[in-house]
Amino acid sequence: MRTVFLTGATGFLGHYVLRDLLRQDDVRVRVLLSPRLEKTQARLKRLLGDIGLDLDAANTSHRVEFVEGRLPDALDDDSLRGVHTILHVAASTRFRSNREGDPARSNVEGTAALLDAARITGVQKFVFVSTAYVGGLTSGCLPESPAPACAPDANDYERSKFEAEKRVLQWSAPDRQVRIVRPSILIGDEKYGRATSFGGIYTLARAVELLARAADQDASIDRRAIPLRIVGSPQAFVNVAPVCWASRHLTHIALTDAPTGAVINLVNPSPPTSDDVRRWLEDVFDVGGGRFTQETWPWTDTSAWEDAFYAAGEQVRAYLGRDVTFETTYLASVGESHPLVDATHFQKAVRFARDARWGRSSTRVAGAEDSHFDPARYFEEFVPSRLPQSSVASIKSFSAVVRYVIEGLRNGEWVCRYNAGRLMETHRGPNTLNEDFGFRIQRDAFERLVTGRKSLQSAYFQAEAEIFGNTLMALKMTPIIDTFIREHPLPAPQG
Amino acid sequence: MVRNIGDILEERLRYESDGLLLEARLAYDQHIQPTCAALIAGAHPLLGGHAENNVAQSLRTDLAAAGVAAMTFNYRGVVRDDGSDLDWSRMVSEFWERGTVPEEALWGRDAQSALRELRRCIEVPVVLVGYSFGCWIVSRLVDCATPAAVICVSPNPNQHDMPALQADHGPLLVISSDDDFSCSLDELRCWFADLPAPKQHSLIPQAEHFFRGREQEVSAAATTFLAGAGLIGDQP
Repeated sequence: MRTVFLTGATGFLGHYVLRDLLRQDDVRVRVLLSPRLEKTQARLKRLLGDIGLDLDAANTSHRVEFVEGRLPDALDDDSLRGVHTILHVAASTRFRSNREGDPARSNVEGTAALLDAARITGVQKFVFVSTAYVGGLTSGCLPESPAPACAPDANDYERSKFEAEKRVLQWSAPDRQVRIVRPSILIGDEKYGRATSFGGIYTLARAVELLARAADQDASIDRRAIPLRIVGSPQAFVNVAPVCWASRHLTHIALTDAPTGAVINLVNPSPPTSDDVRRWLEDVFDVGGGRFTQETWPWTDTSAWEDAFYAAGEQVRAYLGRDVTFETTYLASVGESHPLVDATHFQKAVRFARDARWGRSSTRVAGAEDSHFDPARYFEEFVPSRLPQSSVASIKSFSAVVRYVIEGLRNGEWVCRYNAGRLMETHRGPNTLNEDFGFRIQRDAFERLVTGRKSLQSAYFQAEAEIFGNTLMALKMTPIIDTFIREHPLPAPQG
Repeated sequence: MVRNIGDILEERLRYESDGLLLEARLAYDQHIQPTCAALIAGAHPLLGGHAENNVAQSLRTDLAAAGVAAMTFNYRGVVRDDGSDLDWSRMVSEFWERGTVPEEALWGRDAQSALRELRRCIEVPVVLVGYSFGCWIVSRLVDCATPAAVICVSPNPNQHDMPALQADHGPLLVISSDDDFSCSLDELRCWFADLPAPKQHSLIPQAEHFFRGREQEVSAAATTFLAGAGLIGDQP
């Protein structure tokens, strides 16, 4: 059984990679987690649970083990003992350096530290996850070979990956195998658009949302004809690919020893154009009017609309202002040539991110965009119709004002006033009804709750739900809620 | 049924209480001869008190890893098809109104029965461990069980009198947090000061009543205490 040492397992790509590794029969995975181990492990467990992997079961069968550490700090001596392959996914994706020295500290020094440890312990294979935009290439074709140079205007992230690639290639030796994998811009999965990180291309989507909000506040503007200049060419490609697809390939590359080049561009062989992305985004946010321009940035005559749009960050320009293609010899060799992202998938990913408030509502943002479950109907129709029939109605002493906040859902907040076991009123959104206490719960956990697959108490003890206000009252309310749900569960989703 | 977690074996048992067959889980290290056994009484059944509660489950596993035969158990009614005829709806209603239910005495009897089962399984000194409401439960067992030690996690003396702890009970460890909604730190210290020695208080800051994500700190405090009391060997 091959032992793979994985870094970055709690990241957007990394937790899919861990799942895919553990789906293989003959692999044991040692996972590097940042301190504190138990906290990070709990987070990882939740992330994997959201994508269908029971970490406890994998743990029980000795398929996965954890070591605590934070690169570039030195690893414990035993961390790499018995490891055949290192799969180094961890990275800082900051575009500009911060005071801690990231992204260089994590991406260059961290990789160098791991390479040193690998050299000492005799690791045979090192798979490094770089980026398709290594070195800040803005035009031309990126070959599947060492990046020729780093562009003078590359951002700090692209520069750090360029430097890290050089160190990885220097580690290569006759008895040591190196793979540098360069994924393109990753977006949420095909099924739900699920993502856990909302930088990158999502910043562009966020910019369109800001534009739409500005339009909401200006009755004089035709929101389908907003005068907005977009830096870039409409025919340039925006190389986006689904995270699950990248994870599957990365896992395959890590576990197979088939001869390939040392450098692999893991990119969408048939990506959308900048103009496709513009149309898809405008459609989601119900705006229009953007037109591409080759005018050199920065401009001195930006309009209020452009200020709103570009306020989201420099990534807005980075993702539409390039015209790069990629050598795809590896992908052709494994039969990948079809488009990976269409309008439906892209828009699903954007809607998921928007509903998760771009990651600000919670670190945990699972939940099916196309789920049958509608919390609004639950609070506003289902509960009022069923509560009078439940035994809760007989709890004459039950009077309280309770707020429910469903994370990962826009405007997902309801306040309910109960009196003598009866539901007197329900309001959506913040309002003047002061609650005695409330529950804050993730959307997917809430769905499991109302379908009777999990109790509110369990969700609370597993930190999937939080209580605010009067804790004692809230705790005493939990068996009341669980009683109602046991008597009146929503049907569980199929499949 | 036996579940293997590394070197730890977990047996799913049934224990008899007032004619009911209730669930318990006994965990131990298959390579270590236990020097003591722990009965872990969980939180209030209406507040998530069952054998797999985060604190109870963590204590069971971690104490087992330290060489203790550790048992958690379900009170009657927690598993709805256990044959008990508790009126759950009435209990929920009464609990909302008064914060207590008459069935608590029955759950005390279940703990006595679980203790009998533990002693039937293994003949070593017994440590009583209570979490929250379980502290009150174990306090009621102290007289008859003559435990080698007692551990109370998040006791709530405001809610439950525990007079047995005022008498001779062997070494006592109290584990609490400084932001427990049910009992302030000052209130807890005041109650603790009146308890007879030998006793220790382990404070886990900012962990609330429930120690969510901090369960291993509870286990570590318990293990260190038992090692200090000579009930287990050095910590692994």
